[in-house]
Amino acid sequence: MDIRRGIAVSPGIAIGSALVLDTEGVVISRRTVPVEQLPTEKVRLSGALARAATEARSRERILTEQIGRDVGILTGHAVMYEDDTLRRDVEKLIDDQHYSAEFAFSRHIRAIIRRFDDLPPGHDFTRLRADFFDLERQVLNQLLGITPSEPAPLAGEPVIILAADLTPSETAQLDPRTVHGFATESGGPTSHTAIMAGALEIPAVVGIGRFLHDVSSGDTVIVDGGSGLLIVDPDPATIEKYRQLRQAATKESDTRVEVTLRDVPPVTRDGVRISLLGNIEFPTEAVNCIERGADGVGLYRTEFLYVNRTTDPTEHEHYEAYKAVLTTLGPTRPVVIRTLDIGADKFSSASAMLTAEKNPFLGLRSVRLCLKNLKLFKTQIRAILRAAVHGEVRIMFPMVTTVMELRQCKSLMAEVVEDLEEAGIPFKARIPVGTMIEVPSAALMADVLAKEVDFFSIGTNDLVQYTLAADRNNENVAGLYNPADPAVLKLIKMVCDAAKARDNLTVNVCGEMSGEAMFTPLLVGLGLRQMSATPRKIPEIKRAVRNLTIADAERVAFEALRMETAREVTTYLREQHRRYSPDAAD
Amino acid sequence: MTAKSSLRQSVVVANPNGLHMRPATRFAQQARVLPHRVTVCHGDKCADGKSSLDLLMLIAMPGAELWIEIEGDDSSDAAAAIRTLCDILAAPGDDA
Repeated sequence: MDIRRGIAVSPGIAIGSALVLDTEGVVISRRTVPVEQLPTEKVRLSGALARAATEARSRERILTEQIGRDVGILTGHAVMYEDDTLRRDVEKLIDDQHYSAEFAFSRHIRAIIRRFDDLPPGHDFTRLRADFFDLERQVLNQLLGITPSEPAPLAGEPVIILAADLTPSETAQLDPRTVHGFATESGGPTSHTAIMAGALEIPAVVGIGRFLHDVSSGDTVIVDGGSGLLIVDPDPATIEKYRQLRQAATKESDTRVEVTLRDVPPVTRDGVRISLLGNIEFPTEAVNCIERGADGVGLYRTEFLYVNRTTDPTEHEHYEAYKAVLTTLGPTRPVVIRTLDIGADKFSSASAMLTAEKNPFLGLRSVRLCLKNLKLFKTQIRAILRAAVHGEVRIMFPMVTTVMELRQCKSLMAEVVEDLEEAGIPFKARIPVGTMIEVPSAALMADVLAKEVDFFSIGTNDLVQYTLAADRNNENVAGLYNPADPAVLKLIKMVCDAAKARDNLTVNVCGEMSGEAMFTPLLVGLGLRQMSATPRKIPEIKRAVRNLTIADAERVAFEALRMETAREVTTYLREQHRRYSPDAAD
Repeated sequence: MTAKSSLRQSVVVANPNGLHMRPATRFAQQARVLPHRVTVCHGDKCADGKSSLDLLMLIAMPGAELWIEIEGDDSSDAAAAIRTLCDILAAPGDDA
């Protein structure tokens, strides 16, 4: 039994058989083969190596023609595929261990990569790791008959996915009916993958560090998503303990919180209605918002439309994705659509626009990227305005840093309106326009931005990251990243005050912070009357709201704002949360 | 019956990135066309000269001293062969 600790990102317990998926989603399902099949495996190996070599040479040739000089790296790979030593070593694994060709090759390459891992950090040879991962990938593709970029064939039986990392779209493809949990080597608490896991309600642990070398498909594993544990090869007593925990947890979440809270409104004890909205990433999650009694969708992320593909999404694809959510939510519940919010490195057409950025989080991303790529941006805006006829749509621009950017977005919207009018296409010309407040400059200039928009939405994840200059996924500085930091609280207060001074402009909070009941008294006390969180969290937040009075909340905010460190604030908020919601699980 | 012979020569890696992907590839390609057995040693680690993978695993940095040994049927071009191989490692190439 081997217990690994990671970051708990999606609660729940999963017990099952491991399915090891590598970064690109190739599944090696057969580890061993019967003795009589060993010669066949060796023939398959030779064939795959020969085809991989041919392909590498042909790609090298195409590349040479394109750039006019010989690069030689892919030829280097071809020469390795043709390497007798390599082939013999893998054949020996097949003969001695009865491994399948895929498993033997993968094992052998991983052993080579481990030798590079042992070199001191920054050693010039460590970059060869990427080449060996590539060799592994190419040969496995040949063996499994996979053409690159085809999605992974998933087994039909319930499994727990173990991977180095999963992209959000890979996570999205996980079907909760067959995938009971997942655990990854990298990733942080607020990565898109973690957000997705929460949305799909699949127990998940990320950021475990290297463990894939020590586990194989078919091993029994337990994912304890609440405590952030992955248990490989558990003993029978542990399995039994977790079976009981799982049973108890299922009962609790179904009965205690959800059923009792779904149909009551989020109203404070003194009768103030707080609007609770759901954050979603995929159209299929819209129904979760309804089931959890959300007042609407406070954040509809649209990045899924752009990533993992070679072309940009068409207007029609955008339109269908928006229409689906609007239809589910009905004519009166608001749906806030956030325009593209990723870096240029994440999707194809834009990646050609720039050379690698040294500092992508301070680079060309989100609305900055859209304003440099007007065709892409207009396509999305057009689709949003057209879809608006199906419901209560709001548009929201992410990562706005200056008022000029916001004005540009609005004038672009006006252009799109004219185009649509001319073309005689049905659309809604006037929809509420909002801006995300997620960089300190936007918070500081909130009084000016307020004149331009119909609502604000504070994106706390990025606001925390940019205010404290700490990457939430970098374990060396993750300690600085804390939504309870007094600097963050001051900025949120500044935004709320600016909105209040502007005819009570609506302010929403849509980061992880609004999904944690511990922060509910503080946020309400700072003046927020709207919060948006992953649908699963809504009943919990609703309960916290219903336990409060506005006077209580304002006192909590007042006290918290006087504190000097994140630690003091956290301790205080926990204490207050327990005081007002003693029935909460914590 | 032909006599077996072996030749041994030392060479200092001049490539600015050491015995990296491209020099290793060139070396292995050259070695593969020879009828001889080619061994390259770095300290106590030895690699099959016809295997670029093996050569990479020597982790030979710039300035490392390597020994090249070729063995095979006595033939006149063994000396020429070892010179060609040494030249690949001794050439201050551009690359990785």
